[in-house]
Amino acid sequence: MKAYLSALSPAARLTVWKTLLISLGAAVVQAALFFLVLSRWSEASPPILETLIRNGRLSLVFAAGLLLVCGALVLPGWDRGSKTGYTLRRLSVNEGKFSLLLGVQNALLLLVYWAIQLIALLLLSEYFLSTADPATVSHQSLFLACYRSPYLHGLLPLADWAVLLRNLSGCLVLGLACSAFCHHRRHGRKSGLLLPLAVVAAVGFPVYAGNPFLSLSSTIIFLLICLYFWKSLTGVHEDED
Amino acid sequence: MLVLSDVKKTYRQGTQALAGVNLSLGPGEIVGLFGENGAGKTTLMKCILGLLRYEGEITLDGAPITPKNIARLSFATCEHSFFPALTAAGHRDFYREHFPTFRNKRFAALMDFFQLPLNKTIRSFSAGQKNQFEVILALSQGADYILMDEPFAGNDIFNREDFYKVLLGILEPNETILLSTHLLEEVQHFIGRAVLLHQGVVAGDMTTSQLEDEGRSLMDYVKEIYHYQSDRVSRALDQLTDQKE
Repeated sequence: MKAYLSALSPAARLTVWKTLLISLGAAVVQAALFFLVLSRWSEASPPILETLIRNGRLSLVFAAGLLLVCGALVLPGWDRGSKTGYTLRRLSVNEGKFSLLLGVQNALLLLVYWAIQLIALLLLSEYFLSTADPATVSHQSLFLACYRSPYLHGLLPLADWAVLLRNLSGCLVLGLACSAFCHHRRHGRKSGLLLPLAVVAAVGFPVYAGNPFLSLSSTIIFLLICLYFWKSLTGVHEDED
Repeated sequence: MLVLSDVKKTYRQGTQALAGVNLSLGPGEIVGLFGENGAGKTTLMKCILGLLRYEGEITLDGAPITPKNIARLSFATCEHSFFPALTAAGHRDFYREHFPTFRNKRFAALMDFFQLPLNKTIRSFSAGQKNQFEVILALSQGADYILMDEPFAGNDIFNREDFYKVLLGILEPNETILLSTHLLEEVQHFIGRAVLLHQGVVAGDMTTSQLEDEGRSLMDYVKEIYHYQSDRVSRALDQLTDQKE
């Protein structure tokens, strides 16, 4: 296992800091938009939390950040000026297993992105609720906003385990898609699933239809695609050159 | 002993790069691999390393090359195989973890010889420095068979000549070098054997001592094998001059 962790380290060096920077950058932009909308609100009719989130288009920033993180996660596969695959394939580690572990590492980085956006939004919510007119907010305001705002619900599904499963399987499938992209590029092949998956994840994350069936269906589809990636990464291919 | 038996490689588009190569490389040999562009030199090296699928058999001391014994082979390629975002020190640590026979002393000495910085990312190196670093890694891995594919493309002649001298001084008796290059005259005093590839097969294979005994230079031998037509330039010039008229 130590050899695998060591083999993952060059990819980690390339992606971890970039993911953290994108996550923090997205959080800062969301905060700026949140305060911009808040500052323009008329005092006559105080805003509610979910309206601020919607009008600030915070979900769009999240989606853009998610696409950027996916872009950062495929950097180990770009081989700019060097064919790192020649080195990776000369190590004593199994390349298929290595790519699967890289997929898991990517999924963890996507979870970090999700966590940082969640923390940022909770801090913004906390600020808003503590400064708002006490007559317009209650200790239930955040809880209610989590069910009224599709974006906030996606970030913090609370007891909605179907959305939680969708998000977790979404991180796993995107992480594996990024790793499969790198793996196939090293072998001179193309992997076209990453872009559509990333777009679906970015667009679909803040969509909440209030129906667990949709979330569970998404989870099952994501897990089936994960299975496909597992097979494609560990299988033998004829088109090695 | 690295043995290639009837190794064939046809690319998907139908190009036959290797048409049945038979070759044996013993411990301690320094072998020059020559051939015109497209002769199959790079393909041969990639087949040995398992980077390409092939027909035929390649064995290392009788065993097929697998992840178990692949560490006995190292590769320096002009395409480069380092991690651009890692520093030289990062590569040293990475190689130490994966290749237990990594030669720390040789790595340090060669870094010093080429005056390469330890703590800069390889991405920031010049083209020549990148080639030098690629070679340093291949030589420091601790491999028994060191494959080099045009390792000094883009380096100046002083660096290349000095390097060959240093290399001869540091190589241990069991280390084998397979060096693919077009720079025949530069390496003729460095190699002990010349293997000539032509249209995917070994067209010539001779030790430099055999050549010396026969009073032939490496260049003469290569020209003879490739049926070099010494009057081709004058004929071409004549034709071109006729066309102008």
